[in-house]
Amino acid sequence: MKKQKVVLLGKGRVGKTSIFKRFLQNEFHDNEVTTIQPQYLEKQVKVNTEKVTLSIWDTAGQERFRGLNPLFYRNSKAAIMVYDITDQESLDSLEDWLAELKNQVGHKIVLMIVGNKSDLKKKRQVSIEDAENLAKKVGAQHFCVSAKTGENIDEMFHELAKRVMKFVKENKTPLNTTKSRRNFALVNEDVETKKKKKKNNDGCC
Amino acid sequence: MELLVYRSQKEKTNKKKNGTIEKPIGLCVDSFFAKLRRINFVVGKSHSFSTKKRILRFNSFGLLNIRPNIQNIKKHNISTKFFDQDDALFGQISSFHSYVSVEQVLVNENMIIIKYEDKKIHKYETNHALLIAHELSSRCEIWNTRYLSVEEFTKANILKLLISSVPENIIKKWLIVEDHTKTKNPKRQESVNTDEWAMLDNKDESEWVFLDNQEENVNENEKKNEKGPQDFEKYLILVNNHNKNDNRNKEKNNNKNEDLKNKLTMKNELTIQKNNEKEQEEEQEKEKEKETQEEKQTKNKEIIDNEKEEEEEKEKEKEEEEEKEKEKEKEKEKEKEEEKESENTNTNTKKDLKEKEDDDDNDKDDEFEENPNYIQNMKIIAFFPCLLKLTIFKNVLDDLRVKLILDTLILQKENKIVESIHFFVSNYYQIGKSCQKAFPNIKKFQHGLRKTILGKHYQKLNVLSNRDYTENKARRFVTVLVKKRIDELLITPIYNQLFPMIVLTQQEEQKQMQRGKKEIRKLSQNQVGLPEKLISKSGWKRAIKHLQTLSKNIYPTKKLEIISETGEIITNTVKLEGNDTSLLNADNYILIFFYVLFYSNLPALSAQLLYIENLSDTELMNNKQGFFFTTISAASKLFIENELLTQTEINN
Repeated sequence: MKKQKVVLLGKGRVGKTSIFKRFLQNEFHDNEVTTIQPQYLEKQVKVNTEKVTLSIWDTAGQERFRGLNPLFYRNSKAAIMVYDITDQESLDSLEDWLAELKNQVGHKIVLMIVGNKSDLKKKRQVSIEDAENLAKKVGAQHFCVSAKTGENIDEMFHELAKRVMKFVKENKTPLNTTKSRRNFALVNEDVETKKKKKKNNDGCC
Repeated sequence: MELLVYRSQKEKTNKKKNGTIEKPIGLCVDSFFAKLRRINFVVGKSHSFSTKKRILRFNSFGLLNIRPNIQNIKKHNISTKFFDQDDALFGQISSFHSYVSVEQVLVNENMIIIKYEDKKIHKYETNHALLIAHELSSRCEIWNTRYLSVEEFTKANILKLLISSVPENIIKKWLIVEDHTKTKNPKRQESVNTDEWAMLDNKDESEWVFLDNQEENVNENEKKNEKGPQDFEKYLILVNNHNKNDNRNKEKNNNKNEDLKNKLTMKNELTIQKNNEKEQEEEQEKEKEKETQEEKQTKNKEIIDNEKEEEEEKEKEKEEEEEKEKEKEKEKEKEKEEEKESENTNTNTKKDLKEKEDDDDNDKDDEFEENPNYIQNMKIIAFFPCLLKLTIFKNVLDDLRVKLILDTLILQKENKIVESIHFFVSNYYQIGKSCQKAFPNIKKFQHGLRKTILGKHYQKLNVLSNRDYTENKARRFVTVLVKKRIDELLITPIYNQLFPMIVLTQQEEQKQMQRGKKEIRKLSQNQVGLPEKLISKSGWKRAIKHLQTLSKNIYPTKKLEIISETGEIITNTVKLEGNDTSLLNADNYILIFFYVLFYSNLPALSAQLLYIENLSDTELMNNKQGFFFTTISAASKLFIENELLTQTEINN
């Protein structure tokens, strides 16, 4: 299966990069990290017997770069929308991010809503119900994780890989290939017709 | 010559799977750099280090590793193509975990054994090893080594060194052995008698061919009695010593010749002196004779009666004549002796050559002396006779081989593929009237072409000799080669039409960008908004320089590669300069790219980005390369929209 692009979205300081790094640090003997950059990660995840390679893109969370984020959404198969459970605003802002994402990609995308910093239970401001309601509303799955302790991180990515795999299988369209073949065939036809014309002309002469 | 060697991660992971404890990795930075300065070859791939710890640790060595090596390489006139094209240049080299120098080499018809400085020993089957040496070492110099495994490159370079260190007289011996060795490898020649092979097996240790003359004096009994790695050490030969000994022998021969010459000249001088003395004596005698004759004439009248005296005088004259004749004879004899001596000296100098000639019955000696390339080739063939059997394709490098096959498949006359390319290029003026039409048409055509080539001819193209390649890796390798070749075939003829058209469409954005640049003028890293812990002491010079090469390349895949490499350079610079890598998040990354982009001052940046975006492969755009491209696009957007400027003003 080809590499599947996943984008990490969310307000600044919610812990996108921390989740990213935690996923990188958790060792799986079966899973192989092929490429790594501080903001880009390629990792193979095994789902049952099949393997899927996720190429995960970390995105800028600062408000001043908001306008640049749509550039990162292109061709993505999944998005992990991260909010901070100690910050209600971070969950509220997710709706804007979602709208922006769907403007760019459409509805064909796997969505995960992830509440980070689950280890700070005492400081929790966002209720699980609110988050789950939002998830249901947009057809996403909700997870509470802690990048600090590593809680639920692997489970979340495993579930994501599973859903991406399913999504890709369901939306597999051979349109591109047929189109291109058609195009190539057209060119070939043109060549042949040109040849025939030439031959005819030669015959006349 | 020293080689940098580091082992592939595969060995380590295998060990781990087998339950053995993984050895600690990493070197002290100081010792690392100290050793690095005297190393000629650097080989590295980050993908051989799969676990996170290694990557984090070793990427921190980063770029500085390469500079001293490149200087070394230039000194030794080693091709730098490998280092320009390889990931190594951009910091991935830093990922190696151990390295050693080659210390000793032992050569046998069947085995090549290399001992490293850390006393580890690697054994190779001669035929196979030399195949690798021949193919891979040249591949490294000629073609992009992105798909070479570390182990193979290392082997290749070691063996290349080995081949170059073999003296010619030994090569001639090998040449005689050639036919014999053809029947030695049972794997390759199944029809060979098994008894013969068994005999050879028994002779294994006694048949070692030593590169050093001193080693030939080692008792054979001693060799037979000793077994295991200890006996190996005795048989090992120092390549350096061998070279030194060779030089010493040459010097000795030269000295001998010089001595003989000196002796000859001395003798000549002596004989000349003697002759001069004799001549002087003769002259004196003649004068005396004249005087006596005059005296005689004067005294004739007075002494006519003394006939006896006259007779005596005559006798004296006769005696003198006889003496002269004798002297002449002696001189002749001396001359003959001298001639003989000179002849002997000449024969001595020619003796070595004659000995070599005696060893070799072939009449190819003139070729040996005349053509150095021929000698080199013969060296390789001498070491690896199986090379003679190989076809043309097997002699060339893997990727060149694929390229050759690809070209033979594509560029044949009356071939549909080449005709369609020709048709596309010749009718491009119709297809590419505007960017909106041109881009999708080119891309679709590229895609279709790739599909047909890979679909029909993949099996023909998959002729890689690299054993490390898995199916996926091989497919990727071939696919990338095909993509590049299609790029070359399609883009080269239409680039001059296409790119100016894109520049025209991007004029407004380019103007905006220029305006932005003028407004920003000289921008410090602080002003860009970078946190203090991320400020580069070098001012990201390396990344800037590398990005400046973007406009020099016309192929979109190559441009994409340059952008990706720039991104990697940025990451490595942060690590190298000891800055806080935890701050290197997506936000700050865009800012760094903005800074690099600003100072690289690329011409027609927006047009170039549009060109790459529209003509690059979609698969690549979803990969790491795509990520960096998106980041640079975001940074360029900051220019155009001038968002950063307004933000910095607000901050101020």
